[in-house]
Amino acid sequence: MQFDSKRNNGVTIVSVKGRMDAVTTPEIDGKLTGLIDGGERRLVVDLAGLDYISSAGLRSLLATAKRLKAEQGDMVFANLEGHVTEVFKISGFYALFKVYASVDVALGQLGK
Amino acid sequence: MDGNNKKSTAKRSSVAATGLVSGGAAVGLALFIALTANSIALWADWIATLLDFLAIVTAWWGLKKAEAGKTDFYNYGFGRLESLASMGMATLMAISLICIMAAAVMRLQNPVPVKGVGVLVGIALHLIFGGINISLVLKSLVLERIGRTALISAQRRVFTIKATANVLMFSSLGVSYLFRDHIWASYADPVAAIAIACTLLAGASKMFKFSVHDLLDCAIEEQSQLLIIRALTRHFEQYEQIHDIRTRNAGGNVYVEVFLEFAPESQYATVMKTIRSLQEEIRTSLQCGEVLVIPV
Repeated sequence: MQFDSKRNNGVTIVSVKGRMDAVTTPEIDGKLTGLIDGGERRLVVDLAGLDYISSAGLRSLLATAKRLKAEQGDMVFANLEGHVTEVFKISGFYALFKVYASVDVALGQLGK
Repeated sequence: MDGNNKKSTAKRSSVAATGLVSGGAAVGLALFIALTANSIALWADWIATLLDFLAIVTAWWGLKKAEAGKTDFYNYGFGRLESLASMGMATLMAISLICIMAAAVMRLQNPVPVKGVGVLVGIALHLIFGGINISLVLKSLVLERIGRTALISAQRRVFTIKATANVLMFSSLGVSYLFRDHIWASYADPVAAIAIACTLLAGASKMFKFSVHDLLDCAIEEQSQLLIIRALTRHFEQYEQIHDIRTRNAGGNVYVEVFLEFAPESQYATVMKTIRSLQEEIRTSLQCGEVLVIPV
């Protein structure tokens, strides 16, 4: 699992690669919580290179969305691929979150 | 235990008691005819009958414990005890299967005609017990519709195997007796024994498959976990935070516990409405009986 974050015009781009399962999710969850505690309020989660996401990973993303909502923040997703797209559909994430084809499109939308 | 559960347990106990009496009689009679006939199939049938009787004794014992009304003492009921008993029976079935197959193969290599008073007694008894066992299969199917458990399913499988064995034995003994002057009829006996061994194999493998799975004290599979997440996603606006999701497979049943935080200013009625809605959605999508949404 690889986790990176960088800021771009007041938006934090988070990149998660590899697997987001019961083993790796606690670490990712901790890092996302750290970003919110550090004051980040608008997140673009770039999932290019994320091969697998389990229910534990989805649960962490839901909890992150809840934390951001409490702080009047927002979280969107970009670059979903294969299995992750399918899991997002099954779990109803497409209906709840905004999902964009690329990080640039997501940044453009958040910047509006 | 509520009224419906008591009624269902009493009905199951009645079926088990009927099976206990007929099973005990069948073991004794099967032993008698096996001793008085030169048939490997009759010995195989005796082993199968004995195993079935042991399964019924186990089922009856489990139901007696359930009737005692102490099920609340066990967090997840008697499910795992039933599964453990099923696995023990499957092991005995597998051992018997090997013994029967070995004896049948030896008899195929050196065919011997079956004879003796046991053959005629066997034909008559398998006709009678075939009828009894078919009626027990039908009764068990009705009980399964009322409430499916590992125990009641195991009972139904046992009765089905017994009824099949009765039909097989009746046919093979009938052929052996009617065509006793033909050498080919000597092969009917070991062939019937192999057929009984095959029914044991089918029964044992199913019991192993279900009971081993049910015994594993594990979380529910990922596909089902996603359905819980979907329910939480749909109710996203109605709770404050997800604290924990615990799931468990135990004795063929699925248990789900979701710990949610609600906004302090939320009205009690609103929280209860959300809880009921979530529980209903998860229960329906997973087709399980025990879903708890716990406010923290």
